[in-house]
Formats: sequence, structure tokens, C-alpha cells
Amino acid sequence: MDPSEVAQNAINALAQGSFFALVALGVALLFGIMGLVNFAYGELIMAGGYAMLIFTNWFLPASTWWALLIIWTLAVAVVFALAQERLAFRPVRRAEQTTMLVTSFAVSILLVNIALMVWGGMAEAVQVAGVTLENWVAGDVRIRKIDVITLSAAAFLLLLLSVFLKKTAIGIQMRAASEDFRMSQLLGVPANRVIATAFVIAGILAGTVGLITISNTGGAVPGMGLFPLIFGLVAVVIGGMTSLVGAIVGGFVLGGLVVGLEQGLSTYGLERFRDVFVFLVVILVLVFRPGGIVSGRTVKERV
Amino acid sequence: MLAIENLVVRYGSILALRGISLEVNEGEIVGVIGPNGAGKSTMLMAAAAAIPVAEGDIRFEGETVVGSRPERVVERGISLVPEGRHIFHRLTVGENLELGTTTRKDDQVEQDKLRVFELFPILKEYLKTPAGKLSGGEQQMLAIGRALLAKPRLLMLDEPSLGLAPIVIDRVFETFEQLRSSGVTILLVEQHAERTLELADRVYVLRTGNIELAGTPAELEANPEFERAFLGFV
Repeated sequence: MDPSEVAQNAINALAQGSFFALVALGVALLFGIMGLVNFAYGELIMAGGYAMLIFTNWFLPASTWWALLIIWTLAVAVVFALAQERLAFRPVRRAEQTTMLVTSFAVSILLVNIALMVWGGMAEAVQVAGVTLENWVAGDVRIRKIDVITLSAAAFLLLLLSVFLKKTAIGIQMRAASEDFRMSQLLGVPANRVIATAFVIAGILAGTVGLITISNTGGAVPGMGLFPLIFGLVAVVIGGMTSLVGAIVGGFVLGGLVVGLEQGLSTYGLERFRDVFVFLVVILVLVFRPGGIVSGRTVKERV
Repeated sequence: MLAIENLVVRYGSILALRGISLEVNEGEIVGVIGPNGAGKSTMLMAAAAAIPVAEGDIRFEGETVVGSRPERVVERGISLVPEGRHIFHRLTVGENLELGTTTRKDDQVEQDKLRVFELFPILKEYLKTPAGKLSGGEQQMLAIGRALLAKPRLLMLDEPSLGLAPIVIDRVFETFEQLRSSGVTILLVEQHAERTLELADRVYVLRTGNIELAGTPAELEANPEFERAFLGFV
């Protein structure tokens, strides 16, 4: 590989990785705090996608009103996240994890089918701002502007979240709750508030993923949340279920893996089987390092 | 101050508590001793509103805590240091202490922190250290200090001596005396019967979900039945 090819692949891997990290973070946040693997998380991404469709079709063009579009999309995703928490997950919170899991499947199927009834199964084109389709070209290296936007958005959100979790009272309460929920309650941390906050953050992350997905694909479609969700889950498994840092690391490792596999396999004309190899790596991780790369319980209990 | 009346707690079909009654008066140190599986921890968890109650009532200063949210119980003045300490390993000592102040709305928090540092000077040195790196004794001090920052009027402790070296147990039990003299009422659950008898004003013996005996340490030691019950599990 010549240097420009290396640079090109590195950029692609970073952009992919930050996209996966955003999804993984939302998934890991909810898992850490309430032990919920939320399969309806993909539908928050979808809600963001259709929010963009409604905005650009019915109200205002994205190219001039992009700031408002971002706020609107995130707001819709947050409203859906809070509705999921209040209507679906709060009533089953004390139930077994499997009950919550099945509930999340039900919510997912329900929301996808509502989208199918309203918009049908075909993708609806969303007129996104032109900037997302442009490239910078330097020699042989082509940088898509949307990749830079993705990377910056991810970096900004990760930084914001890390400050929030370290410096605010509710942030510290969330970290405590994700380590030992019962104990945080015994100290007076209100369960409802911590969980609702986690869903708000998950909603913001999902809305951002929706914005990025639509900017890449140009269309909203009912199953659009599935691909990011599956890869987000994979990133969480690779990185470690119980650590937010693990989710981020897992996202970037997965980004590198996906781009690396695409390159490597295309030499042999096998790039169609990329996902087979991705899941092979997941199985290997589960066999040899079941706790993920960044195991949450790094500090051993001392007596 | 705390009145438990005919409390029944079930885990599925298992009866963990079979209708116990117990009272803690203001300013007392009350001990509950008994073997593993007697229901001691269950009783404390129920009083902290952390598990559901099947029958009976738990009243704190005349009002029931049954059906309350755990955070409301902390606000009302009950703190529990559960068995195994349950400090947050990945959080710093400072953050652990900060969490103790979650329900506080007054402006005395900083002064109370100073008091905790007076009680346990070691905590001040480790403020920025992840709590998981502390030794067992230090973790117990952190757990107690954290509970105190909620400004409880009733402090409930579950097996605070578990896994600690004798010299550290001395230190921890000393603090209970100090706490009592500063006006905190204490409900202490222990397997370590001797120490509890030395410290407590009154002691209950709990066994297989029932209270078998109760009285002052002197009364219990004079009671031949206590000897038998005692020998049964020591």
C-alpha cells in the first residue's frame, strides 16, 4: 500500500469507527444502568431519519436551515427515547432481563410497522444539505466532508458526555448507578431520574446517528436502524459490556476491522463476505476474552 | 424511633422473615445477632425500602416506610451500610463521598465532610484515588463515612466487621461509640456476637426468620437459653 492509500484507509476507518462508537455508547449506557439490551434503539435512529424527512419535505430546505434541522431531529429522537422509557421499559424494570429484552423487540417491531404503514417499505428521499455530498481532494486522497463531520460530531459528543459524567452530580450518580444500581438507590439516588437521563442521552446519540445515516444514504426507510444497531452491539461486545470507554474503543476497533477487511478481502474478490469475517472476530473475542477488550471490572475486589 | 411490627418478607415461596417485631429507641445502639441466613440483612433491606414487604409494618418516627421509594427513606433520615460495603470501585473516594450527599438540601454538607475526615483521616488523603484501590478496612470506613454524609438519624450497619482484621474492627467499633455520642441512633447487625454484646444497649437474637431472644447484654448473658442459642451458631 502506498502512503496515500494508507491515509485514505485510516480516514475511512476513523469515520466508520466514530459512527459505530456513537451507536455503541447509546447501547452501553442503557445496558450499564438498567441491564437493558434495547433492540428498539435502532428505531430511535429511524425516528431521527423520518424527523428529517418531515422537516425537509414539509417545512424548510436543509441547506439553509441545517442548524434547526439538527435540533429538530435530536429533539424527536429524545422524545421517542423518553416515550420508550416511560411507556415500555419502566413498567417492566423490576422484571427479569429477558422480559425487558422481549419488550424491546416488541417496541422495535411496533415502531417499524408504524413507519411501514405511514411511509411504506420504500426509501423516501431526504434532501440533505449539499455539503454532506462534497469531498476534499488532496493528491490521491479523497476526504468526504460527511466523514469529517461525523468524526467531529462524535469527538464533540464524547467530550461533552465525559465532562457530564465526571463533573455534574447527576453524571456521577449515573456512573454509580451503572456500577451498582441498588447501592446508588440506598444512597438516595432517584432511580427514575437517572434512567430517564440515560434515555435522553441515548436519544441524542441515536438522533445524531440518524442524521449521519441519512446524510450518507439520502433516504429514510423503516429498517434503517438495524444495521447501525447490530454493528453497535458488536462494538459493545468487542469493547466490553460494562464500560463506556469499552464501547468507544469497541466502536473504533470495529471501524478499523471493517475497513481493513474490505481492503484485504477485495484482493481475493471476497468483500461480499465481509460481515461473515466481522462476526467471526466477534466469536473469537467472546471465546478468548468474554469480558471484552476493556473489562469493566478492572479493579479486583479486596477484602 | 424505628418500630418493626410482625414483619413478613418472602423471596418467592421462601419465608425469609416470619413475623418479627423489633424496636429501636432514639439514642440507642441496638444489636441484632444471629447465624447466616437468619434474615438479618433482609430485615435491614426492608427497613431501607429496598425490598417489598409481604406483611406487617415498619414505622420510622411514627410513619410507615413500607411502599416508599428508597430515596425518600434516606431523605427521612435512615441510612444503610449494606453487607459487603458496596463502595463504587471505579469512582474516586471523593465521588463516593459526594454520592452520600445526594439527598442533602441544606448548606452544612462541607462541615459534615470535615467531620467525616476527622473520624476517618485516611479518606482525605485518598480523595482522588479510585475507591477500589483502598484496603478492606479503608473501604468500610468509606462506606460508613458515605452513609453519614446523608445526615442519618438512624444508621443501620450490616456486618461492618466482616473480613476485617481485629485491629481494624476495634477502630470501626470505636467510631460507633463516637457516633452515638454525637446523636446518631445505630442498628447494628453482626455475626460477631461478643463485640456486639460489649457495645449495644439491647440485643435481639434472630434465627431462621424469628426473633428468639431479646434483652440487654446483661440479661442475655444471664439467660441459659441464650447460652444454648449462642452455642448453636458460634
